Amino acid sequence: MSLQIIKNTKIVLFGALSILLFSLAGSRANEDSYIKTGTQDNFDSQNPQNFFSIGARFVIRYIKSSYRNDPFRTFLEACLVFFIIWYVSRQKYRMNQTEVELSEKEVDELISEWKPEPLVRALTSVEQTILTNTPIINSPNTIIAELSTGTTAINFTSFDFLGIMNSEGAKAKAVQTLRNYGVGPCGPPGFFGTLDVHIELETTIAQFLKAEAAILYSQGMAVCVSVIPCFSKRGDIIVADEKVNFMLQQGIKLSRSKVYWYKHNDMEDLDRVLALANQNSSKKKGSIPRKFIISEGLFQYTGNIIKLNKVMELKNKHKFRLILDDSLAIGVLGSRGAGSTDHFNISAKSIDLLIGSLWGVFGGAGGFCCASKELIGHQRLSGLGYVFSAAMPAIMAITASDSIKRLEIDYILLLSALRKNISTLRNLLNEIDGVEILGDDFSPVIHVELKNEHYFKMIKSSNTGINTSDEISRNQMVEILCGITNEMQNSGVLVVQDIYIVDQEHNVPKPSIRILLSGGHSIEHLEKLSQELKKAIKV
Amino acid sequence: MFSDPLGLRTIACLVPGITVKTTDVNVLEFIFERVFQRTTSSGELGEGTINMNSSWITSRGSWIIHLALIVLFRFIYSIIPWFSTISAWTLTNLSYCLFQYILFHATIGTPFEVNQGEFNDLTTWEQIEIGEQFTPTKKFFFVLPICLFLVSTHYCNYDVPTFFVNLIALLVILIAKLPALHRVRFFGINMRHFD
Repeated sequence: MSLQIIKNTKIVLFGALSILLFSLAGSRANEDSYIKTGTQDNFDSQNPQNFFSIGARFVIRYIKSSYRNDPFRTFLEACLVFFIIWYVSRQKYRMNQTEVELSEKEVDELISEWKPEPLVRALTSVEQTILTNTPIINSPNTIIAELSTGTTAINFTSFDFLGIMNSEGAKAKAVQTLRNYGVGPCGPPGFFGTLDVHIELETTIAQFLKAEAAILYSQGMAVCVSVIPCFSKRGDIIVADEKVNFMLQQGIKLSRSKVYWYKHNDMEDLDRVLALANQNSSKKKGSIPRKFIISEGLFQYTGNIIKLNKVMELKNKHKFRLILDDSLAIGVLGSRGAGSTDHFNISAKSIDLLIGSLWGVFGGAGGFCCASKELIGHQRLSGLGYVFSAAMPAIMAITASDSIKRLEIDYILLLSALRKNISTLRNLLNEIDGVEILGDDFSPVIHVELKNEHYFKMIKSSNTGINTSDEISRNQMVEILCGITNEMQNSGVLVVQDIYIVDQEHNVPKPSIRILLSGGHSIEHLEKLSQELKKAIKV
Repeated sequence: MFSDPLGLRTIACLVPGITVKTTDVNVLEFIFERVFQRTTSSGELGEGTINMNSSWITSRGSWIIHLALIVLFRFIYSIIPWFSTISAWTLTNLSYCLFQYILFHATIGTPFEVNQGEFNDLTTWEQIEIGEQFTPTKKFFFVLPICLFLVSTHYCNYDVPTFFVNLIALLVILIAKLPALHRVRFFGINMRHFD
């Protein structure tokens, strides 16, 4: 690219130089022409019938009549004509082209050197360990799960926080719906796919969250990936928490906006980054960019809860919009289970784009976005996940709708059971040495990290002191945690470690065991979990 | 940003008696970074996508409109009674140059959503044929104002002041069309985003 520019500038420079030379020569010729006046025009008498000579005569007459003893001006005009000739005679080429011309020998060499990569690369030892230790559940994803090994285990891996996903009433309703509506909706929502149950579910969600309107997405993964690029475009500004989940990260990447990251849940850093983003954007001319803060209500990677009241304050102070992914928080946090807005007593209408899920607590599939009517209308036309994806099966919509209605009635019972379990388990886990329990006191997502000293202890005890280095690699941690979860599975407690695509994540969290707590677990289940964990990590 | 846009460092090295220190070059580069800036938009489209904002310009019909417009300008200025031939031709030339400037070089971006805002920082001229240079359309719109200039100054009897006014107007729109200045912005004119 820059080579091309230098080449072109050289041509222009060459042109300018030649202009200079010609003008010098022209001024000499001018002096001569004074002497020769009157002797130079006898062209007219030759071949008057010839077409070309008429043309030539016309040109010569034009040149003669325009010369008028002004060599400098004539020279300028000659330059312009030269310019035309230069421009018209050039071959066309593409500005962004970066093709390299190769000789046949070079092509042969490159081909002989090339070794095709395998379509599927061999697994590394860590990946092999993760794969062999992945538990397979043969039953529905209930509190007690049947494993493929034939044993049963207490399940701590389901996002069914309230324990209402597998109730008998819901199952019977689902079978009935299946008979009425069939399996699939047979088309995207804007194209025969919308059923009455979808519209009812959207109204139910909006009423439950006390938002203005809602839009359904049939894929839980697609909501963030669709909503963020729908509003934030190239040249816009995103300020995001550094530990947001993978879906949000992908949405941010796809939006092609300018991204600023702030430290996880650190409000002082958020203030600093917002000010920085505003300062950088004020330098730009042209249209004002759209500015968004992106965060999660209940963080999937850490179990922390967003400090929403402070975020709202900063958002209003710096004039940003807020995109809040409340996928895990809705149905869990707040006095009536309406998510982090309910938890902080903030109206859901004051959040510009509120994303939620139906695949977790509500036992359906897909997700939704709550916003003002205009923003919802925009998504119906340009939210890619909504426009180009088949609508949600009716069975999922009805199940989710029923779960929401049940939560609206039974919230006191369901939430108090969950919160009791959370506080019990946290107290039990806090007694264990060598581990760090992450997350907020209200969070049913509990990450158990092993402390570094404990990792060393475990390596020493297993390898009899072979490892002498002071550092421990990520792969070693993952393998050790695999051993722990495997041991716990064998003794009847199903927990897994959170697995990340390491080279795709913005900020990879430390490996940890993820415990997902449900209101359906009994105290015995929790005690067993803590006992088995204690046993498994014992050196 | 690109360093040494006019090959100044090379020239300075070639001139005898001048030894270029690195600090001098840095100063030169500093100045040129202020004068020349590049837009970030590259305007690359995949096959099959059309930039509706510029695709119509390449049609032959729009070429003819330009010719018709010149005739129309000349006609309008000639029927105003107190306009001489000189002022009519000069105004024709200036009007056409202004028309081209507004159409091609002062209009930035597209009103349509093309490839996620890939063209948002580009002038219409840079959007034509996705930045391909020396195409027939570009050649036509390059040659047309020069021809109009030659004709109009000829019929103005080479009146000196109007000649220079016409020349400056012509040079502005010719320089803006040069391939070497594709996506280059002088003094931040037409520049929208800095990063």
